[in-house]
Amino acid sequence: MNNYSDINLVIAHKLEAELLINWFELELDESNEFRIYRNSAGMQAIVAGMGVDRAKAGTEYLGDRDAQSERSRAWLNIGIAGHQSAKIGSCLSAHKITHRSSGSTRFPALVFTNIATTEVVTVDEPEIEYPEDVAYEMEAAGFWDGALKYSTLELVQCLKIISDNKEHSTEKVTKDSILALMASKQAQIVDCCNQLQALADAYNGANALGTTYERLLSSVHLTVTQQNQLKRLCQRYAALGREEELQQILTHKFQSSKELLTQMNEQIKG
Amino acid sequence: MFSAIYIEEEVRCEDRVQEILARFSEIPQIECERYGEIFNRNAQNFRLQKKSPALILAKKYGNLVLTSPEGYGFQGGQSFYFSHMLNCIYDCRYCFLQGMYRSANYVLFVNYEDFAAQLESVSTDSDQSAIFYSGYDCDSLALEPISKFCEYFLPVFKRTPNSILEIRTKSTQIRSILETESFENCVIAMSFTAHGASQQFEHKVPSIAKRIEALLKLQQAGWRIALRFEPIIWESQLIKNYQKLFDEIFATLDIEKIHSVSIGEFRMPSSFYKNIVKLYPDEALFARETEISDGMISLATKEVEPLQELEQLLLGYISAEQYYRCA
Ligand code: SF4
Repeated sequence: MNNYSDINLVIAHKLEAELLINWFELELDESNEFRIYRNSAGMQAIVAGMGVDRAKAGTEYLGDRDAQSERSRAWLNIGIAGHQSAKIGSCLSAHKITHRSSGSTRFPALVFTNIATTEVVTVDEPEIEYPEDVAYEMEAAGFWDGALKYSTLELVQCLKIISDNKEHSTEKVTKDSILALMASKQAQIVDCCNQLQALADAYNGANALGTTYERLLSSVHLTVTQQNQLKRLCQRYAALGREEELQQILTHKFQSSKELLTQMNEQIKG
Repeated sequence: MFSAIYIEEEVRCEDRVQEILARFSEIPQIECERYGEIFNRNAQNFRLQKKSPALILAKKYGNLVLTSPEGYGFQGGQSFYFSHMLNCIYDCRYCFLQGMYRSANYVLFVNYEDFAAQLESVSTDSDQSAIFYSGYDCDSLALEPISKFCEYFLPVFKRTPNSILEIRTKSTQIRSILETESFENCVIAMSFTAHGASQQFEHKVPSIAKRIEALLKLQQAGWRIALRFEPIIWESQLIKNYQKLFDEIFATLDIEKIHSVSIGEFRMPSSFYKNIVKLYPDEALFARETEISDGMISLATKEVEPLQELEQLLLGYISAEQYYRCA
Protein backbone atom coordinates (compact mmCIF):
# COMPACT_ATOMS: atom_id res chain seq x y z
CA MET A 1 0.00 0.00 0.00
CA ASN A 2 1.12 3.53 -0.84
CA ASN A 3 1.95 5.37 2.35
CA TYR A 4 0.32 8.68 1.46
CA SER A 5 2.98 11.08 2.59
CA ASP A 6 0.85 14.19 2.14
CA ILE A 7 -2.49 13.15 3.60
CA ASN A 8 -3.98 14.21 6.91
CA LEU A 9 -6.95 12.22 8.15
CA VAL A 10 -9.38 13.82 10.56
CA ILE A 11 -11.59 11.40 12.47
CA ALA A 12 -14.05 12.09 15.27
CA HIS A 13 -13.95 8.83 17.23
CA LYS A 14 -11.23 6.46 18.27
CA LEU A 15 -13.46 3.65 17.06
CA GLU A 16 -13.70 5.08 13.52
CA ALA A 17 -9.94 5.54 13.56
CA GLU A 18 -9.11 2.00 14.64
CA LEU A 19 -9.05 0.32 11.25
CA LEU A 20 -7.50 3.31 9.49
CA ILE A 21 -4.61 3.20 11.95
CA ASN A 22 -4.16 -0.42 11.14
CA TRP A 23 -4.47 -0.17 7.33
CA PHE A 24 -2.11 2.75 6.99
CA GLU A 25 0.38 1.49 9.61
CA LEU A 26 -0.03 4.63 11.68
CA GLU A 27 1.63 4.90 15.07
CA LEU A 28 0.87 7.17 17.98
CA ASP A 29 2.96 10.30 17.56
CA GLU A 30 1.42 12.63 20.13
CA SER A 31 -1.25 12.36 22.79
CA ASN A 32 -1.38 15.79 24.40
CA GLU A 33 -4.43 17.79 23.45
CA PHE A 34 -5.35 15.32 20.70
CA ARG A 35 -4.21 11.84 19.77
CA ILE A 36 -2.18 12.12 16.57
CA TYR A 37 -0.90 9.16 14.60
CA ARG A 38 1.72 9.13 11.88
CA ASN A 39 3.27 6.56 9.56
CA SER A 40 6.84 6.40 8.30
CA ALA A 41 5.94 8.11 5.01
CA GLY A 42 4.30 11.09 6.70
CA MET A 43 0.57 10.34 6.59
CA GLN A 44 -1.09 11.66 9.73
CA ALA A 45 -4.38 11.06 11.49
CA ILE A 46 -5.92 12.99 14.32
CA VAL A 47 -8.75 11.85 16.54
CA ALA A 48 -10.45 15.18 17.02
CA GLY A 49 -13.46 14.25 19.09
CA MET A 50 -17.17 14.84 18.61
CA GLY A 51 -18.85 17.97 17.34
CA VAL A 52 -18.14 20.81 14.99
CA ASP A 53 -15.93 22.76 17.38
CA ARG A 54 -13.72 19.80 18.22
CA ALA A 55 -13.41 18.94 14.52
CA LYS A 56 -12.28 22.47 13.73
CA ALA A 57 -9.93 22.67 16.69
CA GLY A 58 -8.35 19.29 15.91
CA THR A 59 -7.91 20.14 12.25
CA GLU A 60 -6.27 23.45 13.12
CA TYR A 61 -4.06 21.78 15.70
CA LEU A 62 -2.76 19.38 13.08
CA GLY A 63 -2.42 22.15 10.50
CA ASP A 64 -0.41 24.31 12.87
CA ARG A 65 1.91 21.40 13.60
CA ASP A 66 2.92 21.38 9.93
CA ALA A 67 2.91 25.12 9.41
CA GLN A 68 6.60 25.24 8.48
CA SER A 69 6.37 22.50 5.87
CA GLU A 70 7.09 23.46 2.24
CA ARG A 71 4.66 20.82 0.96
CA SER A 72 0.92 21.27 0.91
CA ARG A 73 -1.10 18.50 2.47
CA ALA A 74 -4.43 16.99 1.50
CA TRP A 75 -7.12 16.67 4.15
CA LEU A 76 -9.65 13.88 4.41
CA ASN A 77 -12.40 13.67 7.00
CA ILE A 78 -13.71 10.12 7.36
CA GLY A 79 -16.63 9.20 9.54
CA ILE A 80 -20.02 7.64 9.85
CA ALA A 81 -23.28 9.46 9.16
CA GLY A 82 -27.01 8.96 9.05
CA HIS A 83 -28.99 9.47 5.85
CA GLN A 84 -32.64 9.63 4.94
CA SER A 85 -32.46 7.19 2.04
CA ALA A 86 -28.90 6.01 1.32
CA LYS A 87 -28.24 2.33 1.93
CA ILE A 88 -26.40 1.28 5.07
CA GLY A 89 -22.76 0.92 4.16
CA SER A 90 -22.82 3.47 1.32
CA CYS A 91 -19.59 5.42 1.10
CA LEU A 92 -20.30 8.94 -0.11
CA SER A 93 -18.18 12.03 -0.63
CA ALA A 94 -19.60 15.40 0.36
CA HIS A 95 -20.56 17.78 -2.46
CA LYS A 96 -22.14 20.37 -0.20
CA ILE A 97 -21.73 20.86 3.52
CA THR A 98 -24.27 22.89 5.44
CA HIS A 99 -23.87 23.78 9.09
CA ARG A 100 -27.45 23.59 10.23
CA SER A 101 -27.28 25.94 13.21
CA SER A 102 -25.53 28.76 11.34
CA GLY A 103 -27.02 28.04 7.91
CA SER A 104 -23.62 28.46 6.29
CA THR A 105 -22.76 26.30 3.26
CA ARG A 106 -19.56 25.03 1.70
CA PHE A 107 -19.03 23.36 -1.67
CA PRO A 108 -16.16 20.87 -1.82
CA ALA A 109 -14.72 20.38 -5.32
CA LEU A 110 -15.57 16.96 -6.69
CA VAL A 111 -12.24 15.34 -7.34
CA PHE A 112 -12.96 11.66 -6.69
CA THR A 113 -14.01 9.43 -9.53
CA ASN A 114 -16.12 6.32 -8.95
CA ILE A 115 -17.73 7.48 -5.77
CA ALA A 116 -21.27 8.73 -5.22
CA THR A 117 -21.76 12.08 -3.54
CA THR A 118 -24.18 13.59 -1.08
CA GLU A 119 -25.09 16.80 0.62
CA VAL A 120 -23.91 16.70 4.22
CA VAL A 121 -25.66 18.57 7.00
CA THR A 122 -23.57 19.07 10.12
CA VAL A 123 -25.81 19.09 13.17
CA ASP A 124 -25.10 19.94 16.79
CA GLU A 125 -27.34 17.16 18.16
CA PRO A 126 -27.84 13.73 16.59
CA GLU A 127 -30.57 13.81 13.94
CA ILE A 128 -32.84 10.81 14.11
CA GLU A 129 -35.78 12.04 12.02
CA TYR A 130 -33.78 12.44 8.77
CA PRO A 131 -36.07 15.21 7.45
CA GLU A 132 -34.10 15.79 4.23
CA ASP A 133 -32.46 13.46 1.77
CA VAL A 134 -28.94 14.28 2.97
CA ALA A 135 -26.27 12.83 5.24
CA TYR A 136 -26.39 13.96 8.87
CA GLU A 137 -23.26 14.05 10.97
CA MET A 138 -21.55 16.32 13.48
CA GLU A 139 -18.10 17.31 12.21
CA ALA A 140 -17.76 18.08 8.48
CA ALA A 141 -18.42 21.84 8.63
CA GLY A 142 -15.85 22.34 11.39
CA PHE A 143 -13.33 20.15 9.63
CA TRP A 144 -13.79 22.04 6.35
CA ASP A 145 -13.42 25.48 7.91
CA GLY A 146 -10.27 24.37 9.72
CA ALA A 147 -8.62 22.59 6.80
CA LEU A 148 -9.21 25.41 4.36
CA LYS A 149 -6.77 27.56 6.32
CA TYR A 150 -3.96 25.25 5.26
CA SER A 151 -4.81 24.00 1.82
CA THR A 152 -6.42 24.68 -1.51
CA LEU A 153 -10.00 23.46 -1.46
CA GLU A 154 -9.53 20.71 -4.05
CA LEU A 155 -7.38 18.95 -1.46
CA VAL A 156 -10.01 19.10 1.29
CA GLN A 157 -12.51 16.24 1.14
CA CYS A 158 -15.08 14.48 3.33
CA LEU A 159 -16.06 10.82 3.14
CA LYS A 160 -19.15 9.61 4.97
CA ILE A 161 -20.07 5.99 5.53
CA ILE A 162 -23.77 5.56 6.16
CA SER A 163 -24.46 3.78 9.42
CA ASP A 164 -28.14 4.57 9.91
CA ASN A 165 -31.18 5.67 7.96
CA LYS A 166 -34.94 5.87 8.27
CA GLU A 167 -35.29 2.09 8.18
CA HIS A 168 -32.26 1.32 10.30
CA SER A 169 -32.14 3.67 13.30
CA THR A 170 -29.11 4.74 15.32
CA GLU A 171 -30.17 2.37 18.08
CA LYS A 172 -29.06 -0.52 15.93
CA VAL A 173 -25.60 0.97 15.47
CA THR A 174 -23.05 -0.84 17.62
CA LYS A 175 -19.29 -0.80 17.98
CA ASP A 176 -19.08 -4.00 15.94
CA SER A 177 -21.38 -2.74 13.22
CA ILE A 178 -19.27 0.42 12.82
CA LEU A 179 -16.10 -1.64 12.54
CA ALA A 180 -17.77 -3.94 10.03
CA LEU A 181 -18.98 -0.98 7.94
CA MET A 182 -15.55 0.63 7.94
CA ALA A 183 -13.92 -2.67 7.05
CA SER A 184 -16.27 -3.18 4.11
CA LYS A 185 -15.26 0.21 2.69
CA GLN A 186 -11.50 -0.30 2.83
CA ALA A 187 -11.09 -0.45 -0.96
CA GLN A 188 -13.03 2.77 -1.51
CA ILE A 189 -11.21 4.63 1.25
CA VAL A 190 -7.86 3.50 -0.10
CA ASP A 191 -8.89 4.49 -3.62
CA CYS A 192 -9.83 7.98 -2.40
CA CYS A 193 -6.48 8.26 -0.62
CA ASN A 194 -4.73 7.27 -3.86
CA GLN A 195 -6.57 9.95 -5.78
CA LEU A 196 -5.97 12.56 -3.13
CA GLN A 197 -2.26 11.76 -2.92
CA ALA A 198 -1.99 11.99 -6.72
CA LEU A 199 -3.53 15.47 -6.60
CA ALA A 200 -1.24 16.51 -3.76
CA ASP A 201 1.73 15.19 -5.76
CA ALA A 202 0.66 17.20 -8.81
CA TYR A 203 0.29 20.30 -6.69
CA ASN A 204 3.54 19.91 -4.81
CA GLY A 205 5.46 18.64 -7.83
CA ALA A 206 4.79 21.84 -9.75
CA ASN A 207 6.22 23.87 -6.89
CA ALA A 208 9.08 21.54 -6.05
CA LEU A 209 12.56 22.96 -5.66
CA GLY A 210 15.54 20.66 -6.02
CA THR A 211 18.49 20.28 -3.73
CA THR A 212 20.35 22.86 -5.82
CA TYR A 213 18.04 25.51 -4.45
CA GLU A 214 18.83 24.42 -0.90
CA ARG A 215 22.56 24.53 -1.60
CA LEU A 216 22.38 27.97 -3.22
CA LEU A 217 20.28 29.18 -0.32
CA SER A 218 22.89 28.12 2.17
CA SER A 219 25.78 29.57 0.14
CA VAL A 220 24.99 33.23 0.97
CA HIS A 221 22.70 35.13 3.31
CA LEU A 222 19.45 36.11 1.58
CA THR A 223 16.55 38.26 2.75
CA VAL A 224 13.05 36.78 2.49
CA THR A 225 12.45 38.73 -0.73
CA GLN A 226 15.74 37.48 -2.14
CA GLN A 227 14.86 33.93 -1.15
CA ASN A 228 11.68 34.24 -3.21
CA GLN A 229 13.68 35.62 -6.12
CA LEU A 230 16.10 32.71 -5.84
CA LYS A 231 13.20 30.25 -5.72
CA ARG A 232 11.65 31.66 -8.87
CA LEU A 233 15.01 31.72 -10.67
CA CYS A 234 15.61 28.06 -9.78
CA GLN A 235 12.11 27.20 -11.01
CA ARG A 236 12.77 29.05 -14.27
CA TYR A 237 16.08 27.26 -14.88
CA ALA A 238 14.33 23.95 -14.25
CA ALA A 239 11.33 24.81 -16.45
CA LEU A 240 13.66 25.79 -19.28
CA GLY A 241 15.61 22.53 -18.91
CA ARG A 242 18.75 24.40 -17.85
CA GLU A 243 19.33 22.81 -14.46
CA GLU A 244 22.90 21.91 -15.39
CA GLU A 245 23.71 25.60 -15.44
CA LEU A 246 22.59 25.82 -11.83
CA GLN A 247 25.17 23.18 -10.98
CA GLN A 248 27.85 25.37 -12.57
CA ILE A 249 26.64 28.41 -10.68
CA LEU A 250 26.96 26.38 -7.50
CA THR A 251 30.67 25.97 -8.12
CA HIS A 252 31.22 29.77 -8.05
CA LYS A 253 31.94 31.68 -4.86
CA PHE A 254 29.69 34.70 -4.41
CA GLN A 255 30.55 37.61 -2.13
CA SER A 256 26.94 38.60 -1.64
CA SER A 257 23.37 37.58 -2.30
CA LYS A 258 23.08 40.41 -4.79
CA GLU A 259 26.00 39.05 -6.77
CA LEU A 260 24.44 35.58 -6.87
CA LEU A 261 21.06 36.85 -8.04
CA THR A 262 22.60 39.18 -10.64
CA GLN A 263 24.66 36.34 -12.06
CA MET A 264 21.61 34.06 -12.24
CA ASN A 265 19.48 36.78 -13.83
CA GLU A 266 22.10 37.62 -16.43
CA GLN A 267 22.80 34.02 -17.31
CA ILE A 268 19.15 33.07 -17.83
CA LYS A 269 18.75 35.86 -20.37
CA GLY A 270 21.53 34.38 -22.50
CA MET B 1 -17.40 15.78 -19.20
CA PHE B 2 -18.25 17.59 -15.94
CA SER B 3 -17.58 16.48 -12.37
CA ALA B 4 -20.85 18.06 -11.27
CA ILE B 5 -23.46 20.60 -12.25
CA TYR B 6 -24.19 23.45 -9.88
CA ILE B 7 -27.50 25.18 -10.39
CA GLU B 8 -28.53 28.56 -9.08
CA GLU B 9 -31.92 28.11 -7.38
CA GLU B 10 -33.29 30.96 -9.47
CA VAL B 11 -32.75 29.22 -12.81
CA ARG B 12 -33.52 25.64 -11.76
CA CYS B 13 -36.93 25.57 -13.42
CA GLU B 14 -35.93 27.18 -16.72
CA ASP B 15 -36.41 25.00 -19.79
CA ARG B 16 -32.83 25.54 -20.91
CA VAL B 17 -31.60 24.32 -17.53
CA GLN B 18 -33.98 21.38 -17.36
CA GLU B 19 -32.81 20.22 -20.76
CA ILE B 20 -29.17 20.25 -19.66
CA LEU B 21 -29.94 18.52 -16.38
CA ALA B 22 -31.89 15.78 -18.12
CA ARG B 23 -28.94 15.18 -20.40
CA PHE B 24 -26.54 14.76 -17.47
CA SER B 25 -28.79 13.01 -14.99
CA GLU B 26 -26.00 10.69 -13.86
CA ILE B 27 -23.69 13.34 -12.43
CA PRO B 28 -24.20 15.21 -9.15
CA GLN B 29 -26.58 18.16 -9.50
CA ILE B 30 -26.08 20.58 -6.67
CA GLU B 31 -28.13 23.65 -5.85
CA CYS B 32 -26.51 26.92 -4.86
CA GLU B 33 -27.79 30.43 -4.29
CA ARG B 34 -25.37 32.35 -6.51
CA TYR B 35 -22.64 31.06 -8.77
CA GLY B 36 -20.06 33.16 -6.92
CA GLU B 37 -20.31 30.74 -3.99
CA ILE B 38 -18.42 28.26 -6.13
CA PHE B 39 -16.71 30.40 -8.73
CA ASN B 40 -15.29 33.33 -6.77
CA ARG B 41 -14.04 31.59 -3.64
CA ASN B 42 -10.59 32.04 -2.18
CA ALA B 43 -8.22 29.09 -1.82
CA GLN B 44 -9.01 27.50 -5.18
CA ASN B 45 -6.46 26.17 -7.61
CA PHE B 46 -7.29 26.61 -11.29
CA ARG B 47 -4.75 24.01 -12.34
CA LEU B 48 -6.10 21.27 -10.06
CA GLN B 49 -9.69 22.15 -10.92
CA LYS B 50 -8.94 21.87 -14.62
CA LYS B 51 -8.56 18.11 -14.04
CA SER B 52 -12.25 17.75 -13.16
CA PRO B 53 -14.17 20.94 -13.85
CA ALA B 54 -17.82 21.40 -13.05
CA LEU B 55 -20.52 23.24 -14.95
CA ILE B 56 -22.37 26.05 -13.18
CA LEU B 57 -25.74 27.17 -14.53
CA ALA B 58 -26.44 30.73 -13.53
CA LYS B 59 -28.18 33.96 -14.32
CA LYS B 60 -26.15 37.01 -15.22
CA TYR B 61 -27.23 40.37 -13.90
CA GLY B 62 -26.20 43.92 -14.67
CA ASN B 63 -24.36 44.94 -17.79
CA LEU B 64 -24.52 41.98 -20.09
CA VAL B 65 -23.06 43.83 -23.06
CA LEU B 66 -19.82 45.69 -22.45
CA THR B 67 -17.59 47.99 -24.44
CA SER B 68 -14.67 46.05 -25.93
CA PRO B 69 -11.16 46.61 -24.63
CA GLU B 70 -9.24 48.98 -26.85
CA GLY B 71 -7.63 47.29 -29.82
CA TYR B 72 -9.85 44.25 -29.62
CA GLY B 73 -11.05 43.33 -33.08
CA PHE B 74 -11.35 45.09 -36.40
CA GLN B 75 -12.26 48.71 -36.99
CA GLY B 76 -15.59 49.81 -38.40
CA GLY B 77 -18.01 50.95 -35.75
CA GLN B 78 -18.52 50.80 -32.05
CA SER B 79 -17.50 47.51 -30.58
CA PHE B 80 -18.86 45.54 -27.67
CA TYR B 81 -18.49 42.10 -26.19
CA PHE B 82 -20.77 39.79 -24.31
CA SER B 83 -20.07 36.57 -22.48
CA HIS B 84 -22.74 33.96 -22.08
CA MET B 85 -20.05 31.75 -20.58
CA LEU B 86 -16.95 32.04 -18.40
CA ASN B 87 -14.04 29.66 -19.01
CA CYS B 88 -13.37 27.14 -21.69
CA ILE B 89 -13.33 23.39 -22.15
CA TYR B 90 -9.98 23.63 -23.91
CA ASP B 91 -6.76 24.10 -21.99
CA CYS B 92 -4.40 26.41 -23.86
CA ARG B 93 -1.42 26.96 -21.66
CA TYR B 94 -1.12 30.58 -22.76
CA CYS B 95 -4.78 31.40 -22.04
CA PHE B 96 -5.26 34.53 -19.94
CA LEU B 97 -8.44 33.13 -18.38
CA GLN B 98 -6.22 31.02 -16.09
CA GLY B 99 -4.94 34.24 -14.58
CA MET B 100 -8.23 36.10 -14.65
CA TYR B 101 -10.42 33.62 -12.79
CA ARG B 102 -9.79 31.72 -9.58
CA SER B 103 -11.90 28.78 -10.72
CA ALA B 104 -11.60 26.54 -13.75
CA ASN B 105 -15.28 25.60 -13.55
CA TYR B 106 -17.44 26.64 -16.48
CA VAL B 107 -20.19 29.15 -15.83
CA LEU B 108 -23.01 29.15 -18.36
CA PHE B 109 -25.35 32.11 -18.06
CA VAL B 110 -28.66 30.78 -19.21
CA ASN B 111 -30.68 34.00 -19.40
CA TYR B 112 -30.12 34.34 -23.14
CA GLU B 113 -33.30 36.38 -23.50
CA ASP B 114 -31.82 39.12 -21.25
CA PHE B 115 -28.65 39.13 -23.34
CA ALA B 116 -30.69 39.39 -26.54
CA ALA B 117 -32.72 42.29 -25.16
CA GLN B 118 -29.57 44.21 -24.22
CA LEU B 119 -27.87 43.40 -27.52
CA GLU B 120 -30.86 44.73 -29.41
CA SER B 121 -31.09 47.83 -27.29
CA VAL B 122 -27.35 48.62 -27.63
CA SER B 123 -27.64 48.03 -31.35
CA THR B 124 -30.62 50.36 -31.64
CA ASP B 125 -28.81 53.06 -29.63
CA SER B 126 -25.70 52.90 -31.81
CA ASP B 127 -25.74 55.50 -34.55
CA GLN B 128 -23.42 53.41 -36.71
CA SER B 129 -23.16 49.68 -37.15
CA ALA B 130 -22.01 48.04 -33.95
CA ILE B 131 -19.75 45.02 -33.66
CA PHE B 132 -20.42 42.46 -30.97
CA TYR B 133 -17.71 39.99 -30.01
CA SER B 134 -18.50 36.71 -28.42
CA GLY B 135 -15.68 34.55 -27.16
CA TYR B 136 -13.73 36.90 -24.94
CA ASP B 137 -14.26 34.97 -21.68
CA CYS B 138 -14.77 31.57 -23.26
CA ASP B 139 -14.76 29.75 -26.57
CA SER B 140 -18.23 30.46 -27.92
CA LEU B 141 -18.64 27.30 -29.94
CA ALA B 142 -16.83 24.67 -27.92
CA LEU B 143 -19.82 23.85 -25.74
CA GLU B 144 -22.44 24.35 -28.47
CA PRO B 145 -24.11 20.95 -28.15
CA ILE B 146 -24.95 21.84 -24.55
CA SER B 147 -25.17 25.63 -24.57
CA LYS B 148 -27.01 25.93 -27.91
CA PHE B 149 -25.50 29.39 -28.07
CA CYS B 150 -25.56 29.64 -31.86
CA GLU B 151 -28.97 28.09 -32.13
CA TYR B 152 -30.32 30.95 -30.02
CA PHE B 153 -28.13 33.93 -30.93
CA LEU B 154 -27.79 33.57 -34.70
CA PRO B 155 -31.48 34.41 -35.22
CA VAL B 156 -31.05 37.39 -32.86
CA PHE B 157 -28.36 38.86 -35.09
CA LYS B 158 -30.13 37.89 -38.26
CA ARG B 159 -32.94 40.23 -37.28
CA THR B 160 -30.55 43.09 -36.37
CA PRO B 161 -28.68 43.52 -39.66
CA ASN B 162 -26.96 46.74 -38.59
CA SER B 163 -25.00 44.77 -35.96
CA ILE B 164 -22.13 42.46 -36.70
CA LEU B 165 -21.53 39.38 -34.59
CA GLU B 166 -18.00 37.97 -34.43
CA ILE B 167 -17.80 34.51 -32.91
CA ARG B 168 -14.23 33.89 -31.82
CA THR B 169 -13.37 30.21 -31.55
CA LYS B 170 -10.99 27.30 -31.95
CA SER B 171 -13.83 24.82 -32.06
CA THR B 172 -15.13 22.71 -34.89
CA GLN B 173 -18.64 22.46 -33.39
CA ILE B 174 -20.21 24.08 -36.40
CA ARG B 175 -23.23 21.87 -36.94
CA SER B 176 -25.80 24.35 -35.70
CA ILE B 177 -24.24 27.12 -37.77
CA LEU B 178 -24.39 24.95 -40.87
CA GLU B 179 -28.01 24.16 -40.13
CA THR B 180 -28.77 27.89 -40.20
CA GLU B 181 -29.01 29.84 -43.41
CA SER B 182 -25.96 32.11 -43.66
CA PHE B 183 -26.32 35.86 -43.31
CA GLU B 184 -23.99 38.77 -43.93
CA ASN B 185 -23.56 40.26 -40.47
CA CYS B 186 -22.03 37.25 -38.78
CA VAL B 187 -18.32 36.43 -38.88
CA ILE B 188 -16.83 33.21 -37.55
CA ALA B 189 -13.24 33.93 -36.57
CA MET B 190 -10.97 30.95 -36.07
CA SER B 191 -7.75 31.32 -34.07
CA PHE B 192 -4.50 29.60 -34.96
CA THR B 193 -0.93 29.35 -33.78
CA ALA B 194 1.76 27.56 -35.79
CA HIS B 195 1.96 23.76 -35.61
CA GLY B 196 4.67 23.48 -32.97
CA ALA B 197 3.04 26.00 -30.66
CA SER B 198 -0.33 24.40 -31.19
CA GLN B 199 0.96 20.98 -30.21
CA GLN B 200 2.86 22.35 -27.26
CA PHE B 201 0.32 24.72 -25.80
CA GLU B 202 -3.18 24.04 -27.14
CA HIS B 203 -4.32 21.07 -25.11
CA LYS B 204 -7.65 19.47 -26.08
CA VAL B 205 -8.06 21.92 -28.99
CA PRO B 206 -9.10 20.44 -32.37
CA SER B 207 -6.16 19.98 -34.75
CA ILE B 208 -5.20 22.68 -37.21
CA ALA B 209 -6.36 20.48 -40.10
CA LYS B 210 -9.80 20.03 -38.50
CA ARG B 211 -10.13 23.75 -37.88
CA ILE B 212 -9.25 24.54 -41.51
CA GLU B 213 -11.76 21.93 -42.65
CA ALA B 214 -14.45 23.53 -40.47
CA LEU B 215 -13.68 26.94 -41.95
CA LEU B 216 -13.91 25.55 -45.45
CA LYS B 217 -17.32 24.03 -44.73
CA LEU B 218 -18.53 27.33 -43.32
CA GLN B 219 -17.21 29.26 -46.28
CA GLN B 220 -18.81 26.85 -48.72
CA ALA B 221 -22.10 27.29 -46.89
CA GLY B 222 -21.89 31.03 -47.44
CA TRP B 223 -20.72 32.11 -43.99
CA ARG B 224 -18.18 34.88 -43.59
CA ILE B 225 -15.04 33.66 -41.93
CA ALA B 226 -12.02 35.38 -40.42
CA LEU B 227 -8.58 34.28 -39.27
CA ARG B 228 -6.94 35.24 -36.01
CA PHE B 229 -3.24 34.38 -35.76
CA GLU B 230 -2.74 34.79 -32.06
CA PRO B 231 -1.07 34.61 -29.76
CA ILE B 232 2.21 34.78 -31.63
CA ILE B 233 4.79 33.16 -29.39
CA TRP B 234 8.33 33.99 -30.42
CA GLU B 235 10.32 30.98 -31.54
CA SER B 236 13.47 30.52 -33.55
CA GLN B 237 11.75 29.30 -36.74
CA LEU B 238 8.78 31.64 -36.45
CA ILE B 239 8.61 32.75 -40.09
CA LYS B 240 9.19 29.26 -41.46
CA ASN B 241 6.55 27.79 -39.17
CA TYR B 242 3.97 30.41 -40.04
CA GLN B 243 4.74 30.08 -43.73
CA LYS B 244 3.76 26.41 -43.45
CA LEU B 245 0.55 27.32 -41.64
CA PHE B 246 -0.33 30.11 -44.09
CA ASP B 247 0.33 27.79 -47.04
CA GLU B 248 -2.07 25.22 -45.64
CA ILE B 249 -4.80 27.70 -44.79
CA PHE B 250 -4.69 29.88 -47.86
CA ALA B 251 -4.41 26.95 -50.25
CA THR B 252 -7.71 25.63 -48.86
CA LEU B 253 -9.87 28.73 -48.36
CA ASP B 254 -11.24 31.24 -50.84
CA ILE B 255 -8.98 34.12 -49.90
CA GLU B 256 -11.04 36.89 -51.43
CA LYS B 257 -14.04 35.94 -49.35
CA ILE B 258 -12.17 36.04 -46.04
CA HIS B 259 -13.63 38.84 -43.94
CA SER B 260 -10.46 39.78 -42.06
CA VAL B 261 -7.14 38.44 -40.87
CA SER B 262 -5.30 39.59 -37.78
CA ILE B 263 -2.09 38.98 -35.92
CA GLY B 264 -1.61 39.52 -32.22
CA GLU B 265 1.36 38.78 -30.04
CA PHE B 266 1.27 37.01 -26.68
CA ARG B 267 0.25 39.70 -24.20
CA MET B 268 -1.79 39.92 -21.06
CA PRO B 269 -2.20 42.13 -18.00
CA SER B 270 0.71 41.58 -15.66
CA SER B 271 -1.61 40.73 -12.74
CA PHE B 272 -3.03 37.80 -14.74
CA TYR B 273 0.47 36.73 -15.70
CA LYS B 274 1.60 36.69 -12.07
CA ASN B 275 -1.34 34.48 -11.16
CA ILE B 276 -0.52 32.09 -13.98
CA VAL B 277 3.14 31.86 -12.96
CA LYS B 278 1.99 30.78 -9.50
CA LEU B 279 -0.15 28.06 -11.07
CA TYR B 280 2.48 26.89 -13.54
CA PRO B 281 5.91 27.61 -12.05
CA ASP B 282 7.20 24.57 -13.97
CA GLU B 283 6.01 25.73 -17.41
CA ALA B 284 8.74 26.77 -19.85
CA LEU B 285 6.57 29.41 -21.52
CA PHE B 286 6.29 31.33 -18.27
CA ALA B 287 9.96 30.90 -17.45
CA ARG B 288 10.94 32.99 -20.46
CA GLU B 289 12.13 36.57 -20.33
CA THR B 290 9.29 39.06 -20.45
CA GLU B 291 8.78 42.75 -21.04
CA ILE B 292 6.24 44.97 -19.38
CA SER B 293 4.63 48.02 -20.86
CA ASP B 294 1.53 49.85 -19.62
CA GLY B 295 0.74 47.03 -17.26
CA MET B 296 0.84 44.44 -20.04
CA ILE B 297 3.33 41.57 -20.13
CA SER B 298 4.73 40.21 -23.36
CA LEU B 299 7.54 37.82 -24.21
CA ALA B 300 10.92 39.44 -24.77
CA THR B 301 12.56 38.96 -28.14
CA LYS B 302 15.91 39.93 -29.57
CA GLU B 303 14.34 40.86 -32.91
CA VAL B 304 13.78 44.58 -33.46
CA GLU B 305 10.34 44.50 -35.12
CA PRO B 306 9.43 40.84 -34.95
CA LEU B 307 5.84 41.20 -36.08
CA GLN B 308 6.70 43.18 -39.19
CA GLU B 309 8.35 40.27 -40.93
CA LEU B 310 5.38 38.09 -40.18
CA GLU B 311 3.02 40.77 -41.45
CA GLN B 312 4.99 41.02 -44.68
CA LEU B 313 4.73 37.28 -45.09
CA LEU B 314 0.99 37.36 -44.44
CA LEU B 315 0.44 40.24 -46.85
CA GLY B 316 1.87 38.00 -49.55
CA TYR B 317 -1.34 35.96 -49.25
CA ILE B 318 -4.06 38.51 -48.45
CA SER B 319 -4.82 42.13 -49.27
CA ALA B 320 -3.87 44.95 -46.92
CA GLU B 321 -7.60 45.78 -46.54
CA GLN B 322 -8.21 42.39 -45.02
CA TYR B 323 -5.48 42.77 -42.41
CA TYR B 324 -5.29 44.37 -39.00
CA ARG B 325 -2.89 44.04 -36.08
CA CYS B 326 -4.37 43.32 -32.68
CA ALA B 327 -3.34 45.78 -30.01
S1 SF4 C 1 -9.53 28.15 -26.84
FE1 SF4 C 1 -9.31 30.28 -26.19
S2 SF4 C 1 -10.55 30.47 -24.35
FE2 SF4 C 1 -10.21 28.29 -24.71
S3 SF4 C 1 -8.41 27.75 -23.47
FE3 SF4 C 1 -7.71 28.24 -25.55
S4 SF4 C 1 -7.19 30.43 -25.48
FE4 SF4 C 1 -8.46 29.99 -23.67
